[in-house]
Amino acid sequence: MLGYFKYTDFLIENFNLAFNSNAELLNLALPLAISFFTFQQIAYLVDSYRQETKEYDFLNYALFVTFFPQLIAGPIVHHKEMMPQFAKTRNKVKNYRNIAMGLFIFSIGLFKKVVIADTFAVWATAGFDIATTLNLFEAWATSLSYTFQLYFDFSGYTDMAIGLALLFNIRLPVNFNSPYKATNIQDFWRRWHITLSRFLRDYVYIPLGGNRKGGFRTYNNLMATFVLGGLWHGAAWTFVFWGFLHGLALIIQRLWSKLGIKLWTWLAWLITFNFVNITWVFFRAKEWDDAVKVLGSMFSLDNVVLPNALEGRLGFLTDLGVYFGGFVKNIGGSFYTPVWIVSGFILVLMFKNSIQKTYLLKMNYRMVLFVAFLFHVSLISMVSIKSEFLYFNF
Amino acid sequence: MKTHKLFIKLIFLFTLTFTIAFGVMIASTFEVPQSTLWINNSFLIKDGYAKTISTPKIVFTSGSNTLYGVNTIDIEKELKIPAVNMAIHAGLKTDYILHRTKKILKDGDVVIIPFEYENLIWDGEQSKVRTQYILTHDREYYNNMNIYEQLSMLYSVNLLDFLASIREKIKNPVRPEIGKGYTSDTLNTNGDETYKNVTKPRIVSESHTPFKLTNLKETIGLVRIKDFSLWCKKNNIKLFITYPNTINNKEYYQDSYLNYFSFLKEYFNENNIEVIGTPHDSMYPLKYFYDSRYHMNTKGSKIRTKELINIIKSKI
Repeated sequence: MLGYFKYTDFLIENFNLAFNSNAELLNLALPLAISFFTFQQIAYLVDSYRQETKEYDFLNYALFVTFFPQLIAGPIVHHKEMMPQFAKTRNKVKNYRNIAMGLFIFSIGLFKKVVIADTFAVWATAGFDIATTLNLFEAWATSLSYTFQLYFDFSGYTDMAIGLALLFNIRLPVNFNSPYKATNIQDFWRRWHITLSRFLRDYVYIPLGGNRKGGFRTYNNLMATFVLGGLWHGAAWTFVFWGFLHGLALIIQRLWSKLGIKLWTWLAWLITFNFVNITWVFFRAKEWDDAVKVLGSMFSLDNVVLPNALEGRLGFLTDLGVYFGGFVKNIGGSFYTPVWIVSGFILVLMFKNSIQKTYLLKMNYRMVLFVAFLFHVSLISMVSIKSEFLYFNF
Repeated sequence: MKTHKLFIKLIFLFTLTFTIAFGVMIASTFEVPQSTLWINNSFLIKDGYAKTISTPKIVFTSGSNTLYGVNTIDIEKELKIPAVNMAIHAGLKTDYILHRTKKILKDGDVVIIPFEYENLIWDGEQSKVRTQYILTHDREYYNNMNIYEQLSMLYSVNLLDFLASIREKIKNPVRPEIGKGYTSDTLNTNGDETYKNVTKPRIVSESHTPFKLTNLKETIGLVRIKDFSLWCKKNNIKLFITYPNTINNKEYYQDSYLNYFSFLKEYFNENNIEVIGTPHDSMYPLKYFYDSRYHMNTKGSKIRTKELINIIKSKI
C-alpha cells in the first residue's frame, strides 16, 4: 500500500528519465499519515511472525492502529507499550492528575506549533519556494527558519499527541529530547524522532546484522538504514540524499571516535548543529535547484546586504561590495526575523524541553496563568495565521 | 493548590478571561494610524476628486492592479468624461472596496471593476490591511458588521499587531508619509499611481507565480459583486466587470485555470453582470510590470489604458 501510493510516481519518473520514455504519472493522492500507520502495522506483523505478540483481539488491535492522538504524525508506537495500557482497568477511570498534565503539555505543543513554527514557516516558505535570489542573511535566515519550524512543528504536534493521550490515561513514548542540544550526530538521532529511530534500529538495522558483522558491514548497514529513512520521509532524491548525508556522518563519527580525539563541547555542538541545519536544506527543498539556491547563497559573499540602520557606522563596507537595504526583504522578513531566530536558539538550547517540564509540573497558580496564557495566545494565533502540519505529509 | 480538578477548572477560566479581555482591549483601543496613513490619505485624495465632479463620471475600482495599471487621467482626456481611479489596495477586500465605491457613485455614472483574482476568490477571510484600516479609520463600518464578523475581525489581531498598535500610539503625532510608491504623495489628481517609471522590473517574492486557485464555488467575494450589481441597477449606474492586469503566466493556459475562468464567465453571465474582455486579454509580458504580478510600470499601464479606452468607447 505504502509503496503503491507513495513511490509509484517516483519510480515512473525515474524510469522515464533512465529510458527516455514517456509513461504517464498516476498522480495519486497520498492517504493522510500513511507512512506512520504503515510502520506501526509492519512492527505488529513482524512481531506476530516472531511470536512476540501476546494479544490478537481484533478490537484491541483496531484501537492500537486507530488511536487518534498519534495516528497522523506519531509518535510511532509499539504494540508492547500500548496494548497493556488499553487493557488496564485503572486506565478506564477518570484521572484528574493525568488530565491536568495532559492540558499542560498540550498547551505547550499548541503554542510551539501555531505561534512559533508558523511564524518561522513564513520566512522558510518564502526563502525556499518563492524568492528567486537570496542574499547571505536571507539564505541563513531561510535555513535556520526551517530548522526551527520543523522542530517546533513536529515536536509541538508530538506534545499535543502526548497531551491528548494523557486525557485518556494513555502514556505515549517520548519522541523528542532537545535534539538541537546534541553534540554529535549519533546523539542527535537519540534525541530526534526517537520512535522512528527505534523502529529503524529494530526492524532494519538489527535484522541487517547491526554492528555484529564487522566494521564494513556495520557501515553498510548504517548507510542502508539512513537511506531508507530518507526515502520514508518522501519519494524524492533530495530525501535520499539527506538520508545518505546522515548515514555518512554517522560513519565518519564512528571512525573519528576510534581516533580518541575529543572536541570541545561547544565546537562539537557547532559542527553538529550546522550539519543538521545544512542537511535540512535538502530535506525541505522541493527541487535540487531550490537547495542549490539556498546553500549557494549561504556560502557566498557576493551578495551581502546589511540593514539600512547600519549604513552610518559600516558605510565603508560598500567598497567591498556590501549593500545596505532590506536585508531579509526577499523572504518577507523584517527587524523581527533575527530576533525570532535568536529566540529560537535560546528556546532550544537554554530551556528544559516540554517532557522534562511536564514531569516537574507543580500545580500552582503561576502554572495556571502560564498554561492559560499559552492557550490564549495560541487560540488568537490560530485565527490569524493559516497553518499546516509538516509531518502530515510523511 | 488543593486538587487537580481546581487546576483544570482554573485553566479554562483564565483562558476564557484572557481571551475576552484581549477582545475588549482590541475593540476599544486598537488603531495603527501610521501603518494605515497612506491608505487613508489616498482615500481622501480620491474621494475628494470624485466629489468635485457633478456630471456623470467613469469610476475604476479594485486593488492595486488598477492603481498602477490604469491611467484614468488619460481616459478622462481621451473620452472627455471625468474619470477617477478609486483603487488602492487589494487587501481592503471586495466588500470594503465596494462599500467605499458606493459612497462616491451617483446616478448616470459608469463603474468598471477589474478585481484581483484574490478578491473574486475571497471567502470572508480576515485581511490584515482591511482589519487595520477599518479599526483605525472606519469604526462606523465596523459597528454595522454582524457580531460574528466583528469577533472574527477582532480576533484576527494577534499579539504582535497589538504591540505594534501600542508602539504607533506612543509615537504620536503621526509622522508624514515618506518614500515613493505606496504613499498618497505620488498619486495624480485622478488618483492614479505615478511612481512606476522603471525599465527593469523589480519583481520580487510571489510575483512570478500565478494566483492560487480555489474550488469553483460562489464565494463571498462573488456574492458581494452580485449584490453590488443589483444596487447599481437600482441606482441607474452602469457596471462593468473586467479582469485584472497581470503577468502572462503559462499556467493560465492549463485546464485548472481555464476551468476557473469559464466558471467566472458563466457566473457573471447567469447574474446578468456585463463583463469586458477575457482574463487572457488582461495578461501582459513580464517586462510591463513593476514590483508585483499586479503592478504595471509606466509602459505597461499606457498599453493597458489604451486598450481600455478602445473598449470603453464601444461600450458607452
